[in-house]
Amino acid sequence: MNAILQWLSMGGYAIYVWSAYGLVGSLLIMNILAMKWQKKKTYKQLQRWFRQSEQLGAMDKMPTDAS
Amino acid sequence: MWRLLYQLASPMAFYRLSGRIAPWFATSAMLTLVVGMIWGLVFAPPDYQQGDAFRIIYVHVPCAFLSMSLYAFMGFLSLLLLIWRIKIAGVMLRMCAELGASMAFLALVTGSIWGKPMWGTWWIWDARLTSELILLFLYGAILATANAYQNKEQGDRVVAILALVGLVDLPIIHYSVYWWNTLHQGATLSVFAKPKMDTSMLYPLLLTLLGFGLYSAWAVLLKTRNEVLLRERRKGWVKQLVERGKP
Repeated sequence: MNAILQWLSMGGYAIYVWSAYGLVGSLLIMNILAMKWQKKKTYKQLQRWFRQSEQLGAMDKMPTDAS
Repeated sequence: MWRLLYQLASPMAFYRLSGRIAPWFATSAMLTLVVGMIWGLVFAPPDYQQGDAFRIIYVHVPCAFLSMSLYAFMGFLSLLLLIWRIKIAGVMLRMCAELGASMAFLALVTGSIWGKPMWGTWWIWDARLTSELILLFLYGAILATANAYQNKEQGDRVVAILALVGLVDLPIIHYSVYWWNTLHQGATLSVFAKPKMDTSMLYPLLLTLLGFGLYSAWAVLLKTRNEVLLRERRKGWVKQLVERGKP
Protein backbone atom coordinates (compact mmCIF):
# COMPACT_ATOMS: atom_id res chain seq x y z
CA MET A 1 0.00 0.00 0.00
CA ASN A 2 2.74 2.39 0.97
CA ALA A 3 4.66 1.58 -2.20
CA ILE A 4 1.63 2.44 -4.29
CA LEU A 5 1.10 5.74 -2.48
CA GLN A 6 4.75 6.55 -2.90
CA TRP A 7 4.53 5.77 -6.60
CA LEU A 8 1.42 7.92 -6.96
CA SER A 9 3.19 10.86 -5.35
CA MET A 10 5.82 10.80 -8.14
CA GLY A 11 8.51 12.22 -5.87
CA GLY A 12 6.44 15.35 -5.27
CA TYR A 13 5.73 15.95 -8.94
CA ALA A 14 2.40 14.09 -8.90
CA ILE A 15 0.30 17.00 -10.10
CA TYR A 16 2.54 17.63 -13.11
CA VAL A 17 3.08 14.04 -14.17
CA TRP A 18 -0.52 12.90 -13.74
CA SER A 19 -2.04 15.97 -15.34
CA ALA A 20 0.21 15.54 -18.39
CA TYR A 21 -0.66 11.86 -18.75
CA GLY A 22 -4.33 12.49 -18.02
CA LEU A 23 -4.56 15.17 -20.67
CA VAL A 24 -2.83 13.12 -23.35
CA GLY A 25 -4.81 9.98 -22.48
CA SER A 26 -8.17 11.72 -22.47
CA LEU A 27 -7.48 13.46 -25.78
CA LEU A 28 -6.47 10.21 -27.45
CA ILE A 29 -9.59 8.47 -26.13
CA MET A 30 -11.86 11.38 -27.04
CA ASN A 31 -10.47 11.24 -30.56
CA ILE A 32 -11.37 7.55 -30.81
CA LEU A 33 -14.92 8.23 -29.59
CA ALA A 34 -15.25 11.11 -32.04
CA MET A 35 -14.19 8.86 -34.90
CA LYS A 36 -16.76 6.20 -33.96
CA TRP A 37 -19.47 8.84 -33.74
CA GLN A 38 -18.43 10.33 -37.07
CA LYS A 39 -18.60 6.92 -38.72
CA LYS A 40 -22.14 6.36 -37.49
CA LYS A 41 -23.13 9.82 -38.66
CA THR A 42 -21.65 9.21 -42.11
CA TYR A 43 -23.64 6.01 -42.48
CA LYS A 44 -26.87 7.70 -41.51
CA GLN A 45 -26.14 10.60 -43.86
CA LEU A 46 -25.42 8.30 -46.76
CA GLN A 47 -28.49 6.16 -46.11
CA ARG A 48 -30.66 9.24 -46.10
CA TRP A 49 -28.96 10.53 -49.22
CA PHE A 50 -29.53 7.29 -51.11
CA ARG A 51 -33.19 7.17 -50.02
CA GLN A 52 -33.74 10.72 -51.18
CA SER A 53 -32.03 10.17 -54.49
CA GLU A 54 -34.14 7.08 -55.10
CA GLN A 55 -37.30 9.04 -54.40
CA LEU A 56 -36.21 11.77 -56.73
CA GLY A 57 -35.45 9.16 -59.32
CA ALA A 58 -33.53 10.92 -62.02
CA MET A 59 -29.82 11.31 -61.46
CA ASP A 60 -29.82 14.99 -62.37
CA LYS A 61 -32.23 15.79 -59.57
CA MET A 62 -29.98 14.34 -56.90
CA PRO A 63 -29.28 16.53 -53.91
CA THR A 64 -25.83 17.95 -54.32
CA ASP A 65 -24.58 17.75 -50.79
CA ALA A 66 -24.90 15.06 -48.19
CA SER A 67 -24.39 17.36 -45.26
CA MET B 1 4.71 -0.97 -60.93
CA TRP B 2 3.17 2.47 -61.49
CA ARG B 3 -0.05 0.91 -62.62
CA LEU B 4 -0.24 -1.08 -59.43
CA LEU B 5 0.34 2.05 -57.35
CA TYR B 6 -2.34 3.94 -59.24
CA GLN B 7 -4.76 1.10 -58.69
CA LEU B 8 -4.02 1.06 -54.97
CA ALA B 9 -4.62 4.78 -54.88
CA SER B 10 -8.11 4.39 -56.29
CA PRO B 11 -10.68 5.16 -53.59
CA MET B 12 -12.29 1.73 -53.69
CA ALA B 13 -9.00 -0.19 -53.45
CA PHE B 14 -7.87 2.13 -50.69
CA TYR B 15 -11.09 1.60 -48.78
CA ARG B 16 -10.84 -2.19 -48.95
CA LEU B 17 -7.15 -2.42 -48.15
CA SER B 18 -7.27 0.09 -45.31
CA GLY B 19 -10.25 -1.72 -43.83
CA ARG B 20 -8.15 -4.84 -43.62
CA ILE B 21 -5.04 -3.30 -42.08
CA ALA B 22 -6.62 -0.73 -39.75
CA PRO B 23 -7.50 -3.22 -36.96
CA TRP B 24 -3.87 -4.33 -36.84
CA PHE B 25 -2.73 -0.77 -36.35
CA ALA B 26 -5.30 -0.30 -33.61
CA THR B 27 -4.32 -3.41 -31.68
CA SER B 28 -0.58 -2.88 -31.93
CA ALA B 29 -0.94 0.80 -31.03
CA MET B 30 -2.92 -0.10 -27.92
CA LEU B 31 -0.38 -2.73 -26.86
CA THR B 32 2.73 -0.61 -27.37
CA LEU B 33 1.14 2.43 -25.72
CA VAL B 34 0.00 0.53 -22.64
CA VAL B 35 3.28 -1.35 -22.22
CA GLY B 36 5.39 1.73 -22.95
CA MET B 37 3.52 3.98 -20.53
CA ILE B 38 3.47 1.46 -17.70
CA TRP B 39 7.16 0.81 -18.24
CA GLY B 40 7.86 4.53 -18.25
CA LEU B 41 5.71 5.30 -15.23
CA VAL B 42 6.56 2.31 -13.04
CA PHE B 43 9.76 0.55 -14.02
CA ALA B 44 12.01 3.24 -15.47
CA PRO B 45 14.28 4.69 -12.77
CA PRO B 46 13.84 8.34 -11.73
CA ASP B 47 16.19 10.85 -13.35
CA TYR B 48 19.17 11.95 -11.25
CA GLN B 49 18.41 15.62 -11.91
CA GLN B 50 14.71 15.81 -12.60
CA GLY B 51 13.44 13.06 -10.34
CA ASP B 52 10.10 11.61 -11.36
CA ALA B 53 9.08 14.70 -13.34
CA PHE B 54 11.14 13.43 -16.27
CA ARG B 55 8.47 10.75 -16.84
CA ILE B 56 6.52 13.37 -18.79
CA ILE B 57 9.03 12.66 -21.55
CA TYR B 58 7.11 9.49 -22.47
CA VAL B 59 4.14 11.52 -23.65
CA HIS B 60 5.79 14.83 -24.52
CA VAL B 61 8.42 13.60 -26.96
CA PRO B 62 6.07 11.30 -28.94
CA CYS B 63 3.53 14.12 -29.33
CA ALA B 64 6.19 16.54 -30.52
CA PHE B 65 7.70 13.94 -32.83
CA LEU B 66 4.32 13.09 -34.32
CA SER B 67 3.36 16.74 -34.76
CA MET B 68 6.44 17.13 -36.94
CA SER B 69 6.39 13.81 -38.77
CA LEU B 70 2.70 14.15 -39.63
CA TYR B 71 3.56 17.51 -41.14
CA ALA B 72 6.46 16.03 -43.09
CA PHE B 73 4.11 13.30 -44.33
CA MET B 74 1.70 16.04 -45.41
CA GLY B 75 4.50 17.48 -47.54
CA PHE B 76 4.83 14.11 -49.25
CA LEU B 77 1.05 13.85 -49.73
CA SER B 78 0.99 17.36 -51.22
CA LEU B 79 3.48 16.26 -53.87
CA LEU B 80 1.38 13.16 -54.63
CA LEU B 81 -1.66 15.34 -55.07
CA LEU B 82 -0.11 18.20 -57.02
CA ILE B 83 2.18 16.21 -59.31
CA TRP B 84 0.49 12.84 -59.73
CA ARG B 85 -3.07 14.02 -59.00
CA ILE B 86 -3.77 11.21 -56.57
CA LYS B 87 -7.07 12.28 -55.04
CA ILE B 88 -6.83 10.11 -51.97
CA ALA B 89 -3.71 12.07 -50.96
CA GLY B 90 -5.83 15.20 -50.82
CA VAL B 91 -8.33 13.57 -48.48
CA MET B 92 -5.58 12.23 -46.27
CA LEU B 93 -3.94 15.65 -46.14
CA ARG B 94 -6.85 17.08 -44.18
CA MET B 95 -7.00 14.18 -41.78
CA CYS B 96 -3.27 14.40 -41.08
CA ALA B 97 -3.73 18.10 -40.36
CA GLU B 98 -6.50 17.40 -37.85
CA LEU B 99 -4.43 14.86 -35.97
CA GLY B 100 -1.21 16.86 -36.31
CA ALA B 101 -2.88 19.89 -34.77
CA SER B 102 -3.90 17.93 -31.70
CA MET B 103 -0.39 16.46 -31.43
CA ALA B 104 1.20 19.92 -31.61
CA PHE B 105 -1.25 21.14 -28.99
CA LEU B 106 -0.44 18.23 -26.70
CA ALA B 107 3.30 18.70 -27.19
CA LEU B 108 3.00 22.35 -26.18
CA VAL B 109 0.78 21.71 -23.16
CA THR B 110 2.73 18.73 -21.81
CA GLY B 111 5.92 20.71 -22.38
CA SER B 112 4.44 23.56 -20.44
CA ILE B 113 3.47 21.24 -17.58
CA TRP B 114 7.01 19.89 -17.60
CA GLY B 115 8.52 23.35 -17.81
CA LYS B 116 6.81 24.67 -14.69
CA PRO B 117 8.63 22.46 -12.15
CA MET B 118 11.90 22.29 -14.11
CA TRP B 119 12.38 25.80 -15.48
CA GLY B 120 10.08 27.61 -13.09
CA THR B 121 7.83 28.92 -15.83
CA TRP B 122 4.90 27.68 -17.92
CA TRP B 123 5.99 29.49 -21.02
CA ILE B 124 8.97 31.34 -22.39
CA TRP B 125 9.52 32.78 -25.86
CA ASP B 126 12.31 30.36 -26.53
CA ALA B 127 13.24 29.29 -30.08
CA ARG B 128 12.02 25.68 -29.73
CA LEU B 129 8.76 26.62 -28.06
CA THR B 130 8.04 29.46 -30.44
CA SER B 131 8.72 27.43 -33.58
CA GLU B 132 6.48 24.63 -32.29
CA LEU B 133 3.76 27.19 -31.60
CA ILE B 134 4.13 28.39 -35.19
CA LEU B 135 3.61 24.77 -36.29
CA LEU B 136 0.34 24.71 -34.34
CA PHE B 137 -0.73 27.93 -36.07
CA LEU B 138 0.22 26.43 -39.44
CA TYR B 139 -2.04 23.47 -38.73
CA GLY B 140 -4.78 25.90 -37.74
CA ALA B 141 -4.36 27.87 -40.96
CA ILE B 142 -4.46 24.69 -43.02
CA LEU B 143 -7.63 23.45 -41.33
CA ALA B 144 -9.32 26.82 -41.68
CA THR B 145 -8.43 26.94 -45.38
CA ALA B 146 -9.61 23.38 -45.94
CA ASN B 147 -12.97 24.14 -44.39
CA ALA B 148 -13.39 27.42 -46.23
CA TYR B 149 -13.73 25.75 -49.63
CA GLN B 150 -17.11 24.49 -50.75
CA ASN B 151 -15.45 22.53 -53.54
CA LYS B 152 -13.41 20.06 -51.55
CA GLU B 153 -11.05 19.00 -54.32
CA GLN B 154 -10.17 22.59 -55.05
CA GLY B 155 -9.64 23.11 -51.34
CA ASP B 156 -7.29 20.12 -51.24
CA ARG B 157 -4.98 21.68 -53.80
CA VAL B 158 -4.80 24.98 -51.95
CA VAL B 159 -4.11 23.09 -48.72
CA ALA B 160 -1.32 21.16 -50.46
CA ILE B 161 0.39 24.36 -51.56
CA LEU B 162 0.02 25.85 -48.10
CA ALA B 163 1.44 22.70 -46.52
CA LEU B 164 4.47 22.79 -48.82
CA VAL B 165 5.19 26.42 -47.95
CA GLY B 166 4.94 25.63 -44.23
CA LEU B 167 7.52 22.84 -44.51
CA VAL B 168 10.17 25.47 -43.90
CA ASP B 169 9.22 25.43 -40.21
CA LEU B 170 10.28 21.81 -39.69
CA PRO B 171 14.08 22.28 -39.90
CA ILE B 172 13.70 25.42 -37.80
CA ILE B 173 12.01 23.42 -35.02
CA HIS B 174 14.53 20.63 -35.27
CA TYR B 175 17.67 22.76 -35.24
CA SER B 176 16.32 25.50 -32.96
CA VAL B 177 18.05 23.94 -29.94
CA TYR B 178 21.41 24.15 -31.75
CA TRP B 179 21.06 27.45 -33.61
CA TRP B 180 19.90 29.45 -30.64
CA ASN B 181 20.71 29.43 -27.00
CA THR B 182 17.54 27.95 -25.64
CA LEU B 183 16.19 26.77 -22.36
CA HIS B 184 14.91 23.63 -24.03
CA GLN B 185 17.24 20.69 -23.74
CA GLY B 186 18.96 19.24 -26.80
CA ALA B 187 17.70 16.23 -28.70
CA THR B 188 17.53 13.02 -26.70
CA LEU B 189 17.36 10.79 -29.74
CA SER B 190 19.15 11.03 -33.03
CA VAL B 191 19.36 8.74 -36.02
CA PHE B 192 23.10 9.13 -36.32
CA ALA B 193 24.34 9.43 -32.77
CA LYS B 194 24.22 7.17 -29.78
CA PRO B 195 21.20 8.05 -27.62
CA LYS B 196 21.97 10.23 -24.63
CA MET B 197 19.82 8.12 -22.40
CA ASP B 198 20.27 4.93 -20.48
CA THR B 199 18.52 1.93 -22.02
CA SER B 200 16.32 1.53 -18.93
CA MET B 201 14.80 4.91 -19.77
CA LEU B 202 15.22 4.64 -23.54
CA TYR B 203 13.21 1.50 -24.30
CA PRO B 204 9.90 2.78 -22.92
CA LEU B 205 10.42 5.98 -24.92
CA LEU B 206 10.94 4.02 -28.12
CA LEU B 207 7.81 2.02 -27.32
CA THR B 208 5.61 5.05 -26.76
CA LEU B 209 7.05 6.67 -29.89
CA LEU B 210 6.06 3.59 -31.86
CA GLY B 211 2.69 3.50 -30.13
CA PHE B 212 1.87 7.12 -30.98
CA GLY B 213 2.99 6.48 -34.56
CA LEU B 214 0.72 3.46 -34.91
CA TYR B 215 -2.14 5.31 -33.26
CA SER B 216 -1.73 8.18 -35.72
CA ALA B 217 -1.57 5.86 -38.72
CA TRP B 218 -4.73 4.15 -37.54
CA ALA B 219 -6.60 7.40 -36.87
CA VAL B 220 -5.62 8.90 -40.23
CA LEU B 221 -6.75 5.74 -42.04
CA LEU B 222 -10.09 5.69 -40.24
CA LYS B 223 -10.80 9.36 -40.81
CA THR B 224 -9.79 9.10 -44.45
CA ARG B 225 -12.05 6.08 -45.02
CA ASN B 226 -14.98 8.02 -43.67
CA GLU B 227 -14.39 11.01 -45.91
CA VAL B 228 -13.81 8.76 -48.94
CA LEU B 229 -17.29 7.28 -48.49
CA LEU B 230 -18.85 10.74 -48.43
CA ARG B 231 -16.96 11.98 -51.45
CA GLU B 232 -17.48 8.86 -53.52
CA ARG B 233 -21.17 8.49 -52.73
CA ARG B 234 -22.13 8.67 -56.40
CA LYS B 235 -20.20 5.48 -57.10
CA GLY B 236 -21.91 2.11 -57.08
CA TRP B 237 -19.61 0.45 -54.56
CA VAL B 238 -20.45 2.98 -51.85
CA LYS B 239 -24.14 2.42 -52.34
CA GLN B 240 -23.73 -1.35 -52.11
CA LEU B 241 -21.66 -0.99 -48.98
CA VAL B 242 -24.15 1.27 -47.24
CA GLU B 243 -27.12 -0.85 -48.25
CA ARG B 244 -25.48 -3.95 -46.88
CA GLY B 245 -25.11 -1.87 -43.70
CA LYS B 246 -21.67 -3.28 -42.97
CA PRO B 247 -18.94 -0.71 -42.57
